[in-house]
Amino acid sequence: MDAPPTTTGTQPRGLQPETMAGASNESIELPMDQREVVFDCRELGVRYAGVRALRDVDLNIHRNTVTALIGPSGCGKSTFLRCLNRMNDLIPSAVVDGACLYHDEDLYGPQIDAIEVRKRIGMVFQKPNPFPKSIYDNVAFGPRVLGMKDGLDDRIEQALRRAALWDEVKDRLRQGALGLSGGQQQRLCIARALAVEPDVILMDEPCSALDPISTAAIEDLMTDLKSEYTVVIVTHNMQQAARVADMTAFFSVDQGETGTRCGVLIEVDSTEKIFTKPSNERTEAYVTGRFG
Amino acid sequence: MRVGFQDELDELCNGIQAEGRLTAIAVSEATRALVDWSVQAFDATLAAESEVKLHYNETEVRVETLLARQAPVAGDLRTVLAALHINRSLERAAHNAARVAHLATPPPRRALVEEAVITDALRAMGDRGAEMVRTAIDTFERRDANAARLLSALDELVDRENEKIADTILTMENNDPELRKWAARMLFAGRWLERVGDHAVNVAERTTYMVTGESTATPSGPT
Ligand SMILES: Nc1ncnc2c1ncn2[C@@H]1O[C@H](COP(=O)(O)OP(=O)(O)OP(=O)(O)O)[C@@H](O)[C@H]1O
Ligand SMILES: [Mg+2]
Repeated sequence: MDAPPTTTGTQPRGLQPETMAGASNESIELPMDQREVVFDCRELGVRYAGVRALRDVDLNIHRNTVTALIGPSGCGKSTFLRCLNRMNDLIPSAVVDGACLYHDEDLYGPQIDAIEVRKRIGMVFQKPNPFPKSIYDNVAFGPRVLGMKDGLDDRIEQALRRAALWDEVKDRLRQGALGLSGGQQQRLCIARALAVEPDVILMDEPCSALDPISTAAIEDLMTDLKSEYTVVIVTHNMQQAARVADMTAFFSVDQGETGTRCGVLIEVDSTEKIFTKPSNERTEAYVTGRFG
Repeated sequence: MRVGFQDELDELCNGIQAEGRLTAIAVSEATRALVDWSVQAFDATLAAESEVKLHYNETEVRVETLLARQAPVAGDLRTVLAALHINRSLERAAHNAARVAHLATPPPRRALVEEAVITDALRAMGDRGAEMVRTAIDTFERRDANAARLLSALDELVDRENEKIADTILTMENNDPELRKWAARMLFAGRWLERVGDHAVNVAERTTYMVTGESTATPSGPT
């Protein structure tokens, strides 16, 4: 039984130090339905200032898996993603309902420390957002805040290597992060997320501002990362979802009788199935580009 | 949405349908050439076959372009993949028809029962084969997922006629070398006509896959 992710509790599975040290993971060999469930969302929904933006999401996210969230603008992909690491707490008007279990613990339970959650469940945003500091300090930021001061240099090198950026920056660690290219900045943000040894990485359209080469580097990285982490990405690029994701979840917008629009999960399945033989005709219409 | 893309898919399907109709013509003309020794039918077979080849090449290019430029998925992807396989089946069926036409030669007219049995069986196979190709291509045009079973049943009949030909030839007691030579040619003709039936079944099976995503196709050889 996993302990709840509190600052004082024992660490849940997937968060022990060896995950960072590159311990090999058997789970990646398993078929999807046998992989450990990292997030178990049940009737999860979100309202902003009383207006429902997302409802009734039943979705499991499995360990060592890349899960892509796709769907039209405004269907609640980012809203859902933010539920997974309690980023919605930072939006005062947001209210989350339903359940989101993280390693069998209620992520929204009273004993859960939201800061600790965000350490375990890192997030990378659409626009690279490095701090106006050195490359080193950017990656060191999280570990320093969290008091992970031992072996900081090693930790930073590991994180940069894992983010496939080390070779490009190892001779200029003390230079400003803003001098990096967009793709390098995005990989730096990924390194920053990795430096605190997360269990899960959430990425909200991580490549939308990047050229094809940087995009390819980040896609390769996602594939590498899943051997040790669990990755959830939001993308508007169908081909990207098809290339990198093991599982794909399609969200869309339901129009209520009163004209209210609300995000819903339409279909989740293996990416292969979603892109060759989706079960739901709305999914088919969306992935084939015929969405009205 | 994606108007240009839909137009390209429509063109692809229309091309396949035209190719299918020509293939059916090639098969029925080849049958007439084979059993009626019609020179006109022989020419018509080869003309139809070469038109099928043109369609075949056009379809190949269309598929290549669609895959490269449109990255089709889901139902669109299945349509493109089905078109690719069906294209191949039709081209092979038309090629078999041409082979059949080339084998046409009158029997030595010994007025044997065997000659009549063989000729009748070949005519039945050829007529049935042409009908099967037409049915299969209608199936594709209507996007009918359920015709594969019917075509398999018809294919059984073709196979049975073919067995009849083989049995007749193998048990023939007449040792006349002219007759034996003719019979050997007809054995091959039967073989190629039998393959036409298989290709028609394949067209229907690929159509089922296109519509449902369920694969019923049994891989068949390259002839
Ligand atoms: N902070 C907020 N305050 C109020 N409403 C919000 C807030 N964030 C999102 N919404 C609303 O919630 C709904 C879902 O938005 P969300 O950003 O999750 O969609 P999305 O699927 O990520 O869209 P996109 O693809 O454009 O990023 C939208 O109607 C949006 O207007
Ligand atoms: Mg979003």
